[in-house]
Amino acid sequence: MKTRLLRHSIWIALTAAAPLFALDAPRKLVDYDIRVTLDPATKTLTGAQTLKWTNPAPEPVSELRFHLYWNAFRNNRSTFFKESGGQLRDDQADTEGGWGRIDLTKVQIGGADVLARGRFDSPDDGNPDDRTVWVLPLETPVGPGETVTLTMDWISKVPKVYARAGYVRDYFFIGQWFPKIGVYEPAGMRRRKTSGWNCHQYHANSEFYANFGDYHVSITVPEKFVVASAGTWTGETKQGDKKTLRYELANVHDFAWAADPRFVVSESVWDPARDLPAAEIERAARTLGRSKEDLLRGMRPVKISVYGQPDHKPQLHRYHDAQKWSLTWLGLWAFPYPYEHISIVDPPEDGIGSGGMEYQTLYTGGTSRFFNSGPLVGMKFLEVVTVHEYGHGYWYGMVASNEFEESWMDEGINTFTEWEIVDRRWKYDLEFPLGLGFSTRGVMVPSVAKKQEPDPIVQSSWGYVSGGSYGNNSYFRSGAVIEQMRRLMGEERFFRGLRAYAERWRYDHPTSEDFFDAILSQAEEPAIIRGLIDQTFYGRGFFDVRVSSASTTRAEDFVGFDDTRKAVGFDETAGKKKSRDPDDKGRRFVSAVRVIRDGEIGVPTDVLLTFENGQTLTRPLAAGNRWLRLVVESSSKLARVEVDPAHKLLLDRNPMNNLKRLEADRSPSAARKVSTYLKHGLDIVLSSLWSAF
Amino acid sequence: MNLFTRSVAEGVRLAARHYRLSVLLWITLFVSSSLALRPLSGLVRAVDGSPFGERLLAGWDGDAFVGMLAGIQEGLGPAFAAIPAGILLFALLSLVLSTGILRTLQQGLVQGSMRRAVIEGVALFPKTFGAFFRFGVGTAAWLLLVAGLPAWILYELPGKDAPPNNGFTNAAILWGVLAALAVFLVRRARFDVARALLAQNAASTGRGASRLAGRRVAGARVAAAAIVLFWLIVVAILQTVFTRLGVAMNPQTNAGTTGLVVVRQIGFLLVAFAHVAQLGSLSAFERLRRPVPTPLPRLASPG
Ligand SMILES: [Zn+2]
Repeated sequence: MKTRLLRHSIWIALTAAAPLFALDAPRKLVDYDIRVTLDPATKTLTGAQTLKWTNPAPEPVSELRFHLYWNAFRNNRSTFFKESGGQLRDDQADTEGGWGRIDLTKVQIGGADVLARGRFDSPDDGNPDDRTVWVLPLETPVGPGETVTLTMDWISKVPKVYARAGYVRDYFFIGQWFPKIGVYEPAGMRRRKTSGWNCHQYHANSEFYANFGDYHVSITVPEKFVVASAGTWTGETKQGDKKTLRYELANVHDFAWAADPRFVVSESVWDPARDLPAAEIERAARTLGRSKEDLLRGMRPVKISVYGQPDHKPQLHRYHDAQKWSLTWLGLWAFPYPYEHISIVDPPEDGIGSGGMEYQTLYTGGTSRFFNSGPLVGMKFLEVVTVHEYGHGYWYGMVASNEFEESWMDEGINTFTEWEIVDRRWKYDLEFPLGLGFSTRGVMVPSVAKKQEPDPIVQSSWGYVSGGSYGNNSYFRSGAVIEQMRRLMGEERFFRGLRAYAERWRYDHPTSEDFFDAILSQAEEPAIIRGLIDQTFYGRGFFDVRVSSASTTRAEDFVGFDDTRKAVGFDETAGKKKSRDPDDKGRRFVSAVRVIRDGEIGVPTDVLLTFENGQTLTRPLAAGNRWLRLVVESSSKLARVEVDPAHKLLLDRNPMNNLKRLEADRSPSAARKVSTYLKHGLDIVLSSLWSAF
Repeated sequence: MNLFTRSVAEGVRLAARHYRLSVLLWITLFVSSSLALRPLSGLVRAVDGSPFGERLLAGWDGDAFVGMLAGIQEGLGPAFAAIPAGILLFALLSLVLSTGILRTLQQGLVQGSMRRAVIEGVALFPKTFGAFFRFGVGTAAWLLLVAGLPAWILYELPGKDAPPNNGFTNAAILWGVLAALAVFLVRRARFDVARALLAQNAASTGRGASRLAGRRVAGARVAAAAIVLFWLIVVAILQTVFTRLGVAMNPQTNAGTTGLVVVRQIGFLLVAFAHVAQLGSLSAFERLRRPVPTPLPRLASPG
């Protein structure tokens, strides 16, 4: 007991110390001043930017690297197109005329033209045709801590939308749209050994990674367009039939906007004084071991703007509702949202390729008119996508992991929090009549537990064997493993670990091991969690606990000589066994149970024996043991044996073998009930045929 | 009383008098679905040895249900194979019995009506199938022409550059749904009338019956459609009420489960009754629509 208490106080000290390392604001290495004009008729963007970049490393940097993301849509030889086959998620590229591109027209440093010095590079796959990474060798290297200023002009053709950014009709979603400098990582950053550029090509499944900084953006569009933009609107000027809108956004690493004359704008305010439920504050404070004042520090009202499609009007309030609950949950359990606004773009149904995508202080949702009303209103896809994309504001946005190299870090952690946020508020995100429903977590976890994945979770986004493996590992498998950690660690320890991760890495760039360190720092038995991590994030392990056998038989009465040389249970002279007591008084039973754990992952669990008279017996199966053998003598027959009776082992490959019911078990049959309802379901289908013909 | 109310009242009267025919239909339903689900029920037995049993016994638990399905996933394919077979068997039985039921209703014999419906239904089946074929093909053609084509034109009219879900697409959906319903109601009434004609040997082929039925329905399409719609609504109410009741029962014991079966099957028996009553209604409708009205001594005389 004492040692435990001692260890506990060390943890408290560590937790208290953790925020000391955390940042209250990011280290700003970039400053973008961008002026851009959209010509909807020709689908072109004409842009000019002044970029200030600061060398964070202790050594001079002699070349700069830039992302020219839209060149992914330049032709069918780009790495993006080759990997995606012109199809991403559920949307197809328009290969007739939907190509897009970005071309630098002028690059100057200190008034000198340097455009001609640049070249394209394909650091990931050597594809000579890819144009998504542009390298600019410098005449004068940028010294440590020095800032270089570049002026850059460019012209872009907006692609027809199928993968995140693009246009359809006069809806424009403008993301990854400007020449964006890569990340120069000094040795030690993200645990790397030597300094160097981190500037990957645009891959089908890869998302993004950049330095924090400030953005000043002026957007010129025809008068009739409604602009949805990241950042705070600071003013507007008109020139003829055009208007220029100005936005400011500090402490971010990306900036996106959208324009559509048909946007229906609705606004609301999330006010912590009004919208934070007392019970949730109480719950978070108790679980996280923090004072309420501590949790509420930094909470501020947040303006929510929804840019909706007119045909989705009846649903737009649902964006606000889901957004507010997400602000509440993440604000309390991770840290308060620091920006003053959040914009949600609801893409049109023919531009759904831009839906469900995260940017900072702006993200895209997505829905269908069929969820406006009628039998499908219980399908909460809109809520789920809202919770998910807003969640990325934390896991990728403020806790800025590298989406190229460790795609699970944004998608997996975000899937975990999405499941939790949805579960806490709605329980089922697919609601059917009669109170029936399903949750995404409930649907995905069993399939993750069953399936033998070809890849470990930790992988670059283009390093998985297939798009399916990328998706399953980055989202669901990592989400499920994190949920498994939570159930093994318990609510307090797990959520304190998650909180430690969020606070330490806010405005910083963590790696997988940084997340694990934060979680492990709170674990009571870190070795068990570390084993789970090694077998899933770095391996393809599994486990299956099962009741291998269970029996109960009448105990043999004592027969033979006792210590006083008296014959017991048999007649010595007749050489015959005595018959049993006809009353069966004092009868005893011997129950034998074998529980086995298959697979590489060592998880601790319990084995629960229930006897006919209602008595129970619980025995642990330790993480280090592969099996448990029990022989119990008792006055009652063994009725049932269950391994993992608390249902903590979410990743158990086959939970169907976790229980053995013996003859003495009198509990009612769920199978009979399930079969009855299934029959009624089929009866309804069949009897409806009478109405058909 | 108008055509609609007289037909419906007569249908109810006939179905009540021949309640055994509803029982017969209900038996085909019970047997078909029991056979179709035999392999699945065997598979579901595994749930009693799983951690999901207690959760499912407590009430609806989506996560436990999915967990159970994942646990028996490998066996689901073969087990589900029996379901289409069960549906086909049931559809065939329903079709066979429909004309047999109509003849039994028309002849007014109560004794041995179950046996009679089967024998007559089997005897009339080739002609019934002919009428069914025409019903199917005709309905499909009319659906395409009256519902599908105008809806498609409306949908395509605004062109490729129109925003989704504009006035035209909304009108297309509305038109498609309403026109499809109207086509179905009229065609279904005509099919029932055709079977009623076959049952009284008023036509020698399914095709002839279908044509003659067309003449009976023409001029009273609204009443005919209203009769079908009426029974459609009755069935929908019955299914909803009994399904809700069944879900609310949520039995936690084996005896409770048996009680659930009894209660829910009463609902299906009533749906079978509504089906017989619908056939009776359209049979009465046919009689009332005959060009030369003839008295109906058998039907009118009390038994
Ligand atoms: Zn995501």
